[in-house]
Amino acid sequence: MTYTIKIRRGSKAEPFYSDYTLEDTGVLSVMDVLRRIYREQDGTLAFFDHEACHQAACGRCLVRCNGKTVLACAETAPADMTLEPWNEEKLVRDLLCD
Amino acid sequence: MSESIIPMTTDVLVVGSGGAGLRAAIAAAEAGQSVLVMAKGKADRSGASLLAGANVSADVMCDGRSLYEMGLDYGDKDDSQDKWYRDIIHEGFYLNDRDLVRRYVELAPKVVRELVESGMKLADESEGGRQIGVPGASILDYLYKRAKAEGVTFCENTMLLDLLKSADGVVCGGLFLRLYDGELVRVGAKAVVLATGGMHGCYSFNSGTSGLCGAGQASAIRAGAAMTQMEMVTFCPDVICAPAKYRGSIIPYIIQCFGFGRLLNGKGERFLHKYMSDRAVDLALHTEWNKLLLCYAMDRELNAGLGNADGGVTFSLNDLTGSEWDRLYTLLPELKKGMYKEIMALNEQNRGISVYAAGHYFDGGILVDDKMAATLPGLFAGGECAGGLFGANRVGAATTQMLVQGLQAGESAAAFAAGNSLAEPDYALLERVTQQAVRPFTVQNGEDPRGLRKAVVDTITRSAGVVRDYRQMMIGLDNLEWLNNIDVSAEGGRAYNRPWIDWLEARDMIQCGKAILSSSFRRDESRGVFIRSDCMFTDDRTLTATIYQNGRAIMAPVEQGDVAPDPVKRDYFENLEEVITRLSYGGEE
Repeated sequence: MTYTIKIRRGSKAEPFYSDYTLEDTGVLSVMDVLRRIYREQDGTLAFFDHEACHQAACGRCLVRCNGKTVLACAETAPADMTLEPWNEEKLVRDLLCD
Repeated sequence: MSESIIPMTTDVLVVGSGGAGLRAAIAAAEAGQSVLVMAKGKADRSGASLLAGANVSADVMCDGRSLYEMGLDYGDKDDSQDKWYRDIIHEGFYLNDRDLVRRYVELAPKVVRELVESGMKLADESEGGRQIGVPGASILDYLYKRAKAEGVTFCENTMLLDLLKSADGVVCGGLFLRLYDGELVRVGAKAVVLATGGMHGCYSFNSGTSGLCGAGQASAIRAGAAMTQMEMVTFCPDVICAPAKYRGSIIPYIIQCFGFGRLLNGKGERFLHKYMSDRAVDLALHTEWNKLLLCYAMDRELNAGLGNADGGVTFSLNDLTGSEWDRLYTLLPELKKGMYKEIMALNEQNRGISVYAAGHYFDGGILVDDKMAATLPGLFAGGECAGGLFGANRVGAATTQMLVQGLQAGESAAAFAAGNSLAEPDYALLERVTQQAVRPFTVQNGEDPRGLRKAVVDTITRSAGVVRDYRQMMIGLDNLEWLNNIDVSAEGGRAYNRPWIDWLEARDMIQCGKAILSSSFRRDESRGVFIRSDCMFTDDRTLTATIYQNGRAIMAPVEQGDVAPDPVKRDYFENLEEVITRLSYGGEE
């Protein structure tokens, strides 16, 4: 399956969008997609992953996926997705909110 | 000083905010010391404590008599601290530090009673009469609330870079990275407690949270502290490896511990009996000894090319009857909710899930005495980052370990802080560790940290896995030495610079991996969770623990006291079955 991903980047004052595509045959979470983009395509992408449980237990990896606020680790990745930070007030950079 | 560093001071510095760190913070604050906890993630949601028992039902152990006296009628009133003490040593294949085991069984009733009396919801059933079941998150919520009430200060999203010592060698704080703004923070403290948990990140497939990369262990190693039994790594057998979305979840293991499910190879066949006797298969399927036995069988099956398409084996529930399904859901109602519901849907559709042995618990760690003092003055350690309690195999609960050792480390650190003034750091050391930490920003055209990290993890995973051999360990150690000398570059700003964090974590994992492999080399036998295919015997004529310090591993005798094995050398499995018969709960067939 081909995933097409648009991600809002940067700060609240100066946002911009980056586009990515990736191929995978398995069932991926939004978190899996983000980790693959970081590892394989774009080392500058910021999202909560430094102390994440990946099992819907810590509740720290919130993002907006196609307009809905979800846990990145618990949400099955749709083929087409737009990812945005879930909280403008707490935005650190890209998808990372404090 | 070329770098600007934010200064902070406290009486007692606690690094890590899982169960051990929080319990240490409470103890030190109750003793009247100011306490600062540095958490890598959120203060109440850091570390592996959260995932204990898949956050469904974590076993917290205590001797049955004490549980009974707490009013829990499933507590085995014929049990005793001494029986439990003996069992832990048999389970640990006689490498346990006896003083640590004694402290563990003595303090367990105090910390378990706290949980019971806090009113948290306990799981209804209890196996063996020696444990209560609670979700990991409930323990953290309880401890965090108590720590806040005691006035403990927390800094979140901060990563330990290195320990600081005074000119005369006393540990007097730590250097940290504040992840979100990239600022360096120097904490001066009269005493330091390391409670950083396991080294899960060293293994490409593991059951921990993403931040568990051995920062405490590596910092202790760099500061010159002694480590013990670093070769002992417990793997968990039924951890989901595919579908990717559920990777790392131990929920199949929890289900299996309740007596449900079968393991099938790539051909759909059972395989345990190929590698062990009927008696051992029985133990693998029906006792807490399942971890090492099942992992061994899985490793051998994959090694023989008989894994499934996902590179694991299949965990299947498709032979359950309707009433068995009902019983499973009654025992574990959480399986009907959220992510677990999705996983169970895969099972119900007979699609099965792929599982494999994941890096799960680190029996070895920082060498401590029964007051949880490390070999450097001013340094204490508790929980999974401390070694020696469980010897060569943990059957007892790591949750109880974190609570008991956290409490003890906090009390000891508070006593040390009360008797000592705040020491100035050795400024040359501070400058050196600071420059090392920011080095990727000064290197031009260095390697990509992401690639280095992957190479480190792949190396440790391959060479220090479930079953090891001399050749693989040699290659692994050589690789780590080589990787240790590779320069990397980090670009852009320092605020949440993920490649920089990757390198800092890889740097720690190289230290941990070297300690694991150097210690593995010294053990030319198989014992407990440590299995070498080129030494498939256990040699009880010499009972020694590895001590790793300043880049070298040595063997030191383990005082046996009154729980000791016969001084013989025999086949690994034959020995294992013999050990089981000595357990108070193992008995004769």
